[in-house]
Amino acid sequence: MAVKTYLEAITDGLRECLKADPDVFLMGEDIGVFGGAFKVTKGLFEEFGPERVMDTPISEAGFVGAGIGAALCGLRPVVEMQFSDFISCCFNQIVNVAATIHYRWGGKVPLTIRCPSGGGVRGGPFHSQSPEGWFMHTPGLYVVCPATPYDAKGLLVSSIRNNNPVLFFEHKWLYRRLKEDIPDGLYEVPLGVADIAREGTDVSVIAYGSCVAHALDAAEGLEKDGISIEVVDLRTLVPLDKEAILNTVKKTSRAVVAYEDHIVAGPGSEVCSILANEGFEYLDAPVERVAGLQTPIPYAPVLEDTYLPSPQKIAEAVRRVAAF
Amino acid sequence: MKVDIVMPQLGESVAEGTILKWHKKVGDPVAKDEVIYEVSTDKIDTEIPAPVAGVLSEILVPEEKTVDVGTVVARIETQAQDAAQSKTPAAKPLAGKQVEEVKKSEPKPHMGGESGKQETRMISRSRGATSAGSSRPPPPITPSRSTQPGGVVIRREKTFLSPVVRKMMRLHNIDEQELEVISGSGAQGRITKRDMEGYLSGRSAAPRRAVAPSILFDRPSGKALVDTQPIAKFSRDRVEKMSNIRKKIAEHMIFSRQTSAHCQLYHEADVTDMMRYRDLHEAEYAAQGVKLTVTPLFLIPLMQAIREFPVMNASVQGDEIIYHENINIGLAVAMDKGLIVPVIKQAEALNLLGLAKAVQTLASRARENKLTVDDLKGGTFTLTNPGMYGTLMSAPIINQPQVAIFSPGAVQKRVVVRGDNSLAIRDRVYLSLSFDHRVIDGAVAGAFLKSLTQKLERSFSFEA
Amino acid sequence: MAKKTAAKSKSTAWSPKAEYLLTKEQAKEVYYYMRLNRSVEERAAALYRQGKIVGGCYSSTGNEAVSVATAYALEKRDFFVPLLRNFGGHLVRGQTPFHIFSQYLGRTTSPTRAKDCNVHLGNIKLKIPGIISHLSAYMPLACGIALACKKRGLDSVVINYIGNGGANVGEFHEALNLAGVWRLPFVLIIENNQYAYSTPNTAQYACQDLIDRAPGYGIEGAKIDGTDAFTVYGTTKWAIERARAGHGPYIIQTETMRMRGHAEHDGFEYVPKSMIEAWKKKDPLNKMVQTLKTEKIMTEKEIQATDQKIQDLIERDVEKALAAPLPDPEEVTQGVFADQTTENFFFN
Repeated sequence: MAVKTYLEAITDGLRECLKADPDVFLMGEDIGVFGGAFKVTKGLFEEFGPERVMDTPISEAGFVGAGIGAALCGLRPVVEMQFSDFISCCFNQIVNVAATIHYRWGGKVPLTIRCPSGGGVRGGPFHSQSPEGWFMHTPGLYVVCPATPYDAKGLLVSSIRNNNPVLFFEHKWLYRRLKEDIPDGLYEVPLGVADIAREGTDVSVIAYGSCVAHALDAAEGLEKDGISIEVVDLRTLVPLDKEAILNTVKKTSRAVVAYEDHIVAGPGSEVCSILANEGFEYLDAPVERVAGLQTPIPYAPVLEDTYLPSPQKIAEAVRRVAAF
Repeated sequence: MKVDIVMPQLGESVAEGTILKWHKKVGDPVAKDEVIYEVSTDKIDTEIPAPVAGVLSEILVPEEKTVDVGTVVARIETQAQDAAQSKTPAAKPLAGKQVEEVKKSEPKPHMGGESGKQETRMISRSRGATSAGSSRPPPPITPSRSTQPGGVVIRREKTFLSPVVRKMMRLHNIDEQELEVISGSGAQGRITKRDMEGYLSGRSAAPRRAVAPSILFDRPSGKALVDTQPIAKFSRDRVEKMSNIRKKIAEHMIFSRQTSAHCQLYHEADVTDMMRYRDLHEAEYAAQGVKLTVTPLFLIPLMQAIREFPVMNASVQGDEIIYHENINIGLAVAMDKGLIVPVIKQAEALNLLGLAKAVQTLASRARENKLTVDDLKGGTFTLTNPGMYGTLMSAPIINQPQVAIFSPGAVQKRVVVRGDNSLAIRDRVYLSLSFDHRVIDGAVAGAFLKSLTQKLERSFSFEA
Repeated sequence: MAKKTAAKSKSTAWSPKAEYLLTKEQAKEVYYYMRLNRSVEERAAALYRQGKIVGGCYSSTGNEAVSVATAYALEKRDFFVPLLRNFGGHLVRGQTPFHIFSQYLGRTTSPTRAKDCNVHLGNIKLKIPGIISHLSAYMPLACGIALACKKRGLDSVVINYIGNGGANVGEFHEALNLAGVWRLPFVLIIENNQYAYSTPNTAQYACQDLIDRAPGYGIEGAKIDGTDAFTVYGTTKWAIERARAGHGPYIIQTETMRMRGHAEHDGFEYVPKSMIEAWKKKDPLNKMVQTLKTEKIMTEKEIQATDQKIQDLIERDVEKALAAPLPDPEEVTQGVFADQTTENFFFN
C-alpha cells in the first residue's frame, strides 16, 4: 500500500500486468526510453526491455491494427495513443476491425487501447478531446473511464485481462491531481459496475472521469444550501451499469448527468434515454446534462473554461433540478 | 409443381430490371441452368439461367418491360420424371418459399437482395398512408386551447404532475381531486415527490379523505380560465394567485356557461302562509335543536313540483337525458374561501324536520371545513338562496351536470292588489329559475314555476 | 523465373536450399483447386442470377493461379489473410464449397454463422481471419499476427494480399512500414488485376509498378506473371521460406486480369474488348491444362474425370447448403462480445 497519483496508479497497473503475464506487451509512440508523453510508462522499458515496451512509428492505424492481429493470436497488447485525439487516425481499425471480429467470425481481440483524454490542460482542439462517445456508440467495444487512482489501476488490470477490445480513457487533468492509497500487486475492479462516489438524498449526479471530481467538489457547497447530492461514478460506459443509474434515481427522483464529451449524442445522452424510458416513473424533475459544449475545444483558458463542465456548472444544474 | 422465376437483384442498389429477350416460348422445355431470358439493369445486362428443369408454363412479363426486383416474371412447370427434382428435394420448397416470402413480406423489407427496392417502396407507401389519412379521423384537436365564438381564447391549464408523483398517486389510490389538498412546494406550487411523501405519512394516520376543491362540483371536466389580454396594473394594485378552490370555481362556472343553454324565468309567490308557519313552529323545532330557516320550507313544495316535472331533475350526457330517480338537492353555501355546494341525498324521503336537520348539518359542516367527499357528490338539482342578502332576483349558473337551479329572492312585505281589488300586505318573494334550454323549453319551465308557486302558496295554509 | 526489382534490403542475401518447383502430384492438386475455384464461383453466379444468393457475388476468374498457388505454398502453421478474390486460397486451406455456399446463402453452417456475407469467410482453426470490406485494413492486422509469431518464437509466416486498388489506402503504407521496421515474417501478394472496380491503374497510382514502392519500405520484392501457377508457386514458396528463416518481409506483385466485373452486377463495359481478348489467351486455367497435357502430368480423360468429381462435389454441397438452416432471428444480438474462456485464439 502506498499513496499514488492517478498516473502512478496506471503505471503500477501496467507494471503488475507485465510482470504477471508474459503475453502482455506495450506499444506506442515514445513510450520506451522516453517513458511516454505523460511518463505513464516511465521505467517500464528499463524493467521489461524493448520486446515488452515497444516504440512504434507514428502510425496509429498501423500499430493498433498490429495490436489487433497480435491479440487474435492470444497476446494481450496494450497500445497507447499519445493523446486520445489521435484515435481518429485509427478509427477504421477500432470500429470496423476490432469491434466486429467476434460477432462476425468468433475471433477474440484482447486489446487495450490507452487514451489520455480530456481538457483543462490548455491543449487546444487536438490535445484535449474526450472521444469516448464515438466508441460507446460502436457495438463490440468496452469503454472504460476511471475517475480515481484506485479505479484506474483496478480497471486497467480488468481491461488487460478482458478478451474484448477495451478503450481505456485516462483523464489527463486527473493524472497528477488525484492521489490515494493504492494496494500493491494485482487487483481488479470489475467492468460494468458503477460506484457510488458519494451518497446523498436529493439529486443524483451521474458522471464519469473528470466530472466525478467536479461533482464531488460541488457537493459541499450544495450541502450548505441544504441540497444533498448522490454522485454516481459510472466507471465504465460499456458495459453501462443501468441498474445503478436507475437505483440512484429511484432514490432521489432528480438527476444531473455530467460528462466532458460533447453534449450532443454524448455518453450522458444514453443515460438520459435510459431514465426517460426505464426510469420515467422515478422522475420528479427534468434531467439536466452538463457537458462539453458542441464546439471544438478552444485553446484560450477563458474559452476552454467556458467550454468545459465544472463544479460550478454542475452545482447550478443541481440547483435548478432541485428547485423544480 | 410450378416454380416461380423472379427478377433477381443484380447489385446491392439495383431495384428493377428490364426483360430484354425471352430465349424460350411458353411450352418450351427448359433444362436446369439453361438460359431462359436476358435482363438489363442499370448496372449490367446478363442472361438468366433456369433454376430448375421443366417446361416454361407462363411468361408474366413481356420483353421491353421493366419490373421490380423480386417480381415473378415466369413460371416453370417441373416434371414428375425430372431427375433434378428427386435429387434435390430441399431446393424446391426453398425456391418456392423464398418467393412466397417476398410476396408476403411486402411491407417489410426482406433480408438482403430485395431490400433496396422494398425499402423504397415501403417508405413511399407509408407516406401515402399518412397523407391518405383522410380515411382516418383527423388528429384530435388538443383540448388545451379552443376558440370561443367571440374570439376569446380559453386555455385549459393542468397542474404538472411529475412521473413519480403520478406513480405515487396510482400506488396510493390518490385521485387528482384528493391531490388538491396537498400544498406544492415545487416551482409554481408544483407538488413534488417530497410533498407526496409528507402528505402520505399524515394520510395513513387519518385515512378519511379530506375535501378537495375540485370535488366541489360534480363534473369539473376541464378547467377553463379566461385568457385575457394583459391588464394594466397600477402601483398600488395587488396581484394574488388564485387559490385552488377559486380556480376550480372559475373553471366550473365557465364550463357550465359553455355547456348549458342558460335561460331564466321569474315568478312571484305569496309566502305569507309559509312565513307564518315558520313563526308558529320555530320554537318547536328549536326545542329539538333545529333552527327552522326558510330553506327547508322552500324545499317541500320544490320537491313536489320536481316530481311533477321530472326533466327538472335530469342530467344531459351526450345526446341522452338521464332522469334521476332520487332528488338530491344541492345547497349553495357561501364560505370565506368560496362557494361550496353540499348535497342532501334523497331529499324527497325527508319530512320538514329531516330537511331542516339536513340543511343545518351540512351548513355547519361546511363552515367547520368538515364536509366529506360524499357530502359534495351526486346532486341532481340545486337551490341557491341569495335572499338572505336581500337579493330580489338572480340568474344563477347551473351546477353541472344538472339542468336547473332554483333561486328564491328575499322575502319582503309588499302591498298587493287582491282579486277583489282590495289592498293587502303580504310576504312576497321572487322565484328565479335558471334552466338548460337544451332539454327544458320555456313552456315547461314556466309550468314548473307556476306549479311551484301554487304549492308554495298552498302547502302551508292548512297548518295555520 | 522471377524478375526481381532492385530493392534495398536490410537482410543479408538469402539462398534457398532448393528450387521450389511443383511436383507432378502437387501440380495435379493445384489444378484441382484452380478448377474447383472457378466452378464454385460459376455455380455461385448462377445461384445469384436465380435470386438465391442475395447481396454481392464476386468472381476471381483470371486470378485462380495466384489465389491457389500462393496458398499452396503455405504450411498449415502459416497464416492466410486473403482478399475478396481468394476462394482458391480458402479451398486450399481447407474451407469447402459447402462453407462457401453456406456463407453466400446466409446459412448457419457458414463460418460466420451468417453474420457476415459472401467472401468474408473467417476460420480460426484454418488460421484465416475473416476480412472486412476495407481490404487494406487487414494489412496492419496481418503484421500484428506476424509480430505475435515472432514474439512467441514461432516459425509461422503470414501471407497477406492486396489489390491494385487497396494498395492506395493509407493502411497499406502504415503496414508495410511496420513490416519493414520490425522485419516481420510477412509476405505480401499484390494482385494487380488491372482495374479497381472501374478505375484503371493509370488513375490509381503514378509509379510504374506498385512493386516500385517496396524499396521505400526497405523491403525486397518481385513482379511476376500471375497467370502461371508454377511461377507463382515457386516465387511465393521462396519468399515464404525466406521469411520463415528470419530474413524479413517480401512483396510479390502478380500480373493478372480480372476477367469479370467487380461483382456480378457489373458488366465491366469500361474494359476495352481487345484487352479482354488478349488476356483470354492467357487464361490461367487453360494454361494449367495445357501444361498438364504437354508435360504429360494428366491426360484429357483424367482431367475430365477430375472436373466431373468437382461438379459432383459442388452440386452435393450446394444442395446441402440450401437445405441448411437459416439463422434464428434472435441470434442477431448474440456474439457481440467475447467470453473469458481461452478458446478461439489463433495460438491455441
